Amino acid sequence: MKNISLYRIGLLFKRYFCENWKKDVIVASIIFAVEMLTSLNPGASAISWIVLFVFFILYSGHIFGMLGKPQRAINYLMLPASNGEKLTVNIILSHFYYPALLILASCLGIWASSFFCYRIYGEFEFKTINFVFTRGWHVYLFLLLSNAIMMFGSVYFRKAAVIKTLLCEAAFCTLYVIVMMVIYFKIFNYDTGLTIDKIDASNLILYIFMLCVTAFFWILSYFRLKETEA
Amino acid sequence: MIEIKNMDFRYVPQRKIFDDLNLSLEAGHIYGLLGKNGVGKTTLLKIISGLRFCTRGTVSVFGMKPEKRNPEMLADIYFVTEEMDVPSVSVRDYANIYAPFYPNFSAAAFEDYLHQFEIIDMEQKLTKMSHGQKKKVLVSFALATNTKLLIMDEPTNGMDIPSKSTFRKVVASAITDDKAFVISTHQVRDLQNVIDAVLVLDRGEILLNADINTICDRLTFKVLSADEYKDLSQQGKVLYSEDNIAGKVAVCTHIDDADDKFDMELLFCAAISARETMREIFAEKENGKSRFADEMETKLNN
Repeated sequence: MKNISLYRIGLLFKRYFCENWKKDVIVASIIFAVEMLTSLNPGASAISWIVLFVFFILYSGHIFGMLGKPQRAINYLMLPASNGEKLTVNIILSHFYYPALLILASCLGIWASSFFCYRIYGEFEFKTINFVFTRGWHVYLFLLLSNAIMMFGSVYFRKAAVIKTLLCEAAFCTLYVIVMMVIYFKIFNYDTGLTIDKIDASNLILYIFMLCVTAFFWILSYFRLKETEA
Repeated sequence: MIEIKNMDFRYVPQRKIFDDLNLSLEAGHIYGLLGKNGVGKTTLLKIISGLRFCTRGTVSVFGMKPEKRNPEMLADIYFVTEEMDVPSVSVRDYANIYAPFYPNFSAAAFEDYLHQFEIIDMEQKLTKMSHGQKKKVLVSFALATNTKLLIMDEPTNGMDIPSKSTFRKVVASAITDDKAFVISTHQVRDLQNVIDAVLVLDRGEILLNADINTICDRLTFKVLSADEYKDLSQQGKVLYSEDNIAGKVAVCTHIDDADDKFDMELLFCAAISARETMREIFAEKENGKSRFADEMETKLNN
């Protein structure tokens, strides 16, 4: 039997969706409603950002559930799938599926509000979310890194896992800000002269740094999951 | 099927749970794992399942290391735990989600076991069920997976009286020559008629690992009159006794032509209270026979 099997990965996804589809629909509906209402009022965009961020974190916190209780941990670890398959499914769900679901619900909410405006006022503005198309990539990478740390925290800490992980995240955010400051002000001397080339280069370095750290936490999570006892 | 050699395990450095434990389990048996509270029964089951890792020694399940949690091995092990955490899905959905992980799962057998346990409504949500009902569903599912190794920790806890009888029936019907069931329990009377081999765990070691036939060959379980008790006690044959209304119910070394009835609870008490004697009775010598077997042979020859 191979250590990575698409069939078993499919079964793990099936397990997730069969057990959680209702929660996903509820979350998507809330995001949809919030985005629809807040996008009608430009001054309320901060609310939609906060709601999106909170839901993203709460949603990502779902991965803490798999090993959170001893009984649940036994069920999870005894599932006939390899650690690699279990981790792959968790990475896809927490790093790609959750953000995609939230962004999709958010876009639909904004478009729905635009559509209603058109029906009422006769003006249609095909809005998109700044989140996706402007600073989106940067924010998305930051969320990837944040989720990678959360995933590691969920398999590493057994007691008060959420608090300990959030502390780790805070430490990483501090490190992240320091790295950014070093890149912006020391390496590229942003205070003396700002050029497009410099911005692109520094962003590229940041992206690579974040992807590397994200991958680092994936690997740590894999080894930790292998050694997890219940 | 399961080989444990010189295994040590400890949760904290100061306290050893298992010290040089050796154990061999074969297919075709329903093992009853007995032991006092906190002796490590659940820990042993978890080590066999790959949920805990031993600190020294080797553990082999189907020739594989359980701590690797190889999917091939996991597809042939099912662990029914004492406490349960079930998803919020119906019985039917539960089977649809989890059955494909087990290649030998039989949907017909699952429905049959559920029917025997009188769980008729397949659309009922697991989270809405009582503890006993959940257990019946999980035991039915576990048996229907047809895994080579089925581990159950206190399976009859929470079951009503008719369900315990059904449990014995379905477990006895599900065992085959290529499977082994290991059942850890304190409810020995619930499982006495279904278990065919007994493991007694005490003070970090396996005190007894024998099938019922061997136990009945080497021990006698008997209600003794006061005179019989006195007589056998003087001969040093009584390993353990308890008072009851009919006299003294005792575990003795084998008595010829005795009309006895195997009692697992008494066996356990005898194993705990007469450790060394029991060890001697069941210890296999190099030639494969125990001192007791030698004595029997000599007696027969004379």
